[in-house]
Amino acid sequence: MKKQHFLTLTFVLFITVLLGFTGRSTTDDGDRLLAIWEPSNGLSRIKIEKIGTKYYGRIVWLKVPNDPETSKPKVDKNNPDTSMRKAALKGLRILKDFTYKGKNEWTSGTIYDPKNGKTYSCVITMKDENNLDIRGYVGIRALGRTDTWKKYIEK
Amino acid sequence: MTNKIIPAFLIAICMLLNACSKNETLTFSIDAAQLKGEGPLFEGANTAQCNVKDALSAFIKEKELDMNKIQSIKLNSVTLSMPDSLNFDIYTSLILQFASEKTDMFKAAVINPVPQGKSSVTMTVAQEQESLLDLLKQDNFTMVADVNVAKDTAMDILMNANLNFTIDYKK
Repeated sequence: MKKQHFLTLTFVLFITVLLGFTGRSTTDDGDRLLAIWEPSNGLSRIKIEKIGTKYYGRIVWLKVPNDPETSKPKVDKNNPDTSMRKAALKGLRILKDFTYKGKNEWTSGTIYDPKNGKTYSCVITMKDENNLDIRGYVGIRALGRTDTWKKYIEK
Repeated sequence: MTNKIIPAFLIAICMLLNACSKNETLTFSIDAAQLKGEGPLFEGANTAQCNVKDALSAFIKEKELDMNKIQSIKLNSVTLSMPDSLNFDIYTSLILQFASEKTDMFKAAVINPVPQGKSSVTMTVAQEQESLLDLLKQDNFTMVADVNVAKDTAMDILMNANLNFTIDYKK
């Protein structure tokens, strides 16, 4: 009887540890995204942060911070909501609401393109620890464009 | 004679029903939500946050209203103020957003440039507010202030946000 009780306890403990480990592993895996990333054109840098359980990315650096037309810091001048057009481009969140789905993929988010003021569905795939594939698309994933972002490491 | 009375009676009924179903406009506010961001702050983009719990549901409960009868909600004004005698001189621009687990991030208001020498500033509110009601129906959400800082500083970000809304409520 005692042996059976011991085996049951051991089994319960094993399952608890296994579930706990799996849960923590998934959370930590998702957090690999938390860094500063540079799109392939090298014109900006995006810092990805976590708010609650979702991931968001904002512009923290611009190669050309001032608008050549106004000589003032660039603003979100193409935003479809005219009231938001004076928002500074530096600090603007262009990646929003991503959740980690496992297998190096963050989904259910959007990417905003300040060049045309459009927002696209987006999926982020981590190719390796220093490279992300950012795929923006309309409707289905096949109808989209992928850009590779490199992790920015301060020298 | 009867032919005239029946349509008139029906019109009167319709008018009565229409009057009964008129919507009511209510005002609701979130006061002194304290946005905090830990320093040191570096020149450029920084963030402050604040969790807001049960804001709308507490109002609904207090006024004995029905959440399902809210037709729409509109953010009318956002005022930020600094504690003590500090002013906004270190900040060059601000964007205020709301985030929650079950809804998309909502961009609420912006100010750029931030007027210098002021201890209180009024932001420009977003015109597009379609997702606001769904967000405020959540038990809690995070207020996120993305601020641009003029120069490096050891200070924390600390500011209070006051938000005013109007609710279109079906009687």
